[in-house]
Amino acid sequence: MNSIEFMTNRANPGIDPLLQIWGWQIPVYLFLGGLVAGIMIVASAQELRDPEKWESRLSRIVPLLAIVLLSLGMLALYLDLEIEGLKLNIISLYMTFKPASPISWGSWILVMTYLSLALWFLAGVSAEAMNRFAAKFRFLGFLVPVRVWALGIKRKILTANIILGAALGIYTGIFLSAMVARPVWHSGILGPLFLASGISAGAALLTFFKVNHDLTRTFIKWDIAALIAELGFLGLFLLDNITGTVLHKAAAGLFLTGSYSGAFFGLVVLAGIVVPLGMEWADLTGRANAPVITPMLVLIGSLALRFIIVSAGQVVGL
Amino acid sequence: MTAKRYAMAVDMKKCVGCSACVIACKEENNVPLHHYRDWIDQKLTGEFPSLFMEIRSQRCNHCSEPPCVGICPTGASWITKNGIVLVNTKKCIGCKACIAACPYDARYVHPKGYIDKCTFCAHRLEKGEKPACVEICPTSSLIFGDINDPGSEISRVLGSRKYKVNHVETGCKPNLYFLE
Repeated sequence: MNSIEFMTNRANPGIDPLLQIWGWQIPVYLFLGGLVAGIMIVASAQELRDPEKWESRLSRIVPLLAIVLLSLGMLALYLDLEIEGLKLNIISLYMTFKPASPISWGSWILVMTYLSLALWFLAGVSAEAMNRFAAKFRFLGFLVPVRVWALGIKRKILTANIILGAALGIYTGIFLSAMVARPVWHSGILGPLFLASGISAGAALLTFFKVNHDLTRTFIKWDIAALIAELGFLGLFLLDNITGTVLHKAAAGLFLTGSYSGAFFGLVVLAGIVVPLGMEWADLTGRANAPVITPMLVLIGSLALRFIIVSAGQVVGL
Repeated sequence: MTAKRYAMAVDMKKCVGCSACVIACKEENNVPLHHYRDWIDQKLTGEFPSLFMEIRSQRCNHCSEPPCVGICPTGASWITKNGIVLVNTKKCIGCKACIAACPYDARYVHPKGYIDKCTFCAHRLEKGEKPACVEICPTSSLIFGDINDPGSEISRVLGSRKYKVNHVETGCKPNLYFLE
């Protein structure tokens, strides 16, 4: 039977006529979370695998940068919360653990990530610098033995970084895919897709550091591998939707021919993956030097992916 | 003794879409201006002159497996032993994950920041009264009661009439039934 007309007198703000509950804050939070995950995985794996090639100053700068980026992401999430007059309610996040709630998992993963990053940073600080710091700020004197302890378990910290980075990267995708009512988001592929995108963004960011040639090439190799994986997961994500229900097909249509297709193919696929992939491959094979814009394109593509997925997911409901 | 499981049935043969339930709910629960805990959907199907109109008084489906409760990171969304899905405003952080998770779009952000929705008028049930929407309905199209009680009106009507539920494919086991 043909449906001729549908009317409703519901007009809840942010719900009708289309869901618009999440604006710029959530994509930024998911992007920065993925970026930090990527930094943790690539930098820690590299330091573990090849400590000779690793530059010790990175062990101080990288964790500090990751803490700053993660905090900016947390700030974006905090700004999204509708807790006017209810600010203390945020304590509830850490008074409970809900196994079925990705946000609950995420809040605890973030706590452990902060801890691991802080220990990574302390292990990278020299004894002299730490003693000077402790002399200046006496109330933080307890950090001196903590640094010694962290130095002793450096390899374990780096391993923890890789595990937590993977958990954080996947969480940024599962955050959305747990929503059974939103066909665009309800795909298990979002977890690995966002992880691959986070690793590519993290590796791209690390290429900005002026380090030895070998290490830069290693970061580029990481980026190429992650970009290829991201492209594969994007293809699977579209295939998953195309072969799904009518609503999933509508979701795929948004990216393939609909209102998001320009941004999706232009910013994410072409500018964010294919072009930097070609530039980095040319650099690696000695054909041409990758221009400085290459990692910028990867970062822009990674951010655009989150914006597009978060926005498109709110367009198609059940 | 089996615990109660509150549910509601909407008799689509009786509902005329007058919106009295919407107004009664707003009045009873101080629902803010331009916000709705319940609403009326009208769907016109068929081809002229063979047209068919379906009118549904809609609200939270108080699911037995509510995705909003599972997704809530703080436990603010919870389900009572009588099957009513509620929001503890003292725990809610306004993350809106429950809004995204709800297949019925039955939740909204209250101007005070917490998430709000239909409570089946739990405060009235405690006093032995029916929900305000059920009480006001001029055509008695809303039937409310305990589906675990075989003698209740809702159990009898669900046992004798054809009905449907929305988005059963999500597996959330809704408890808002539409009598055909």
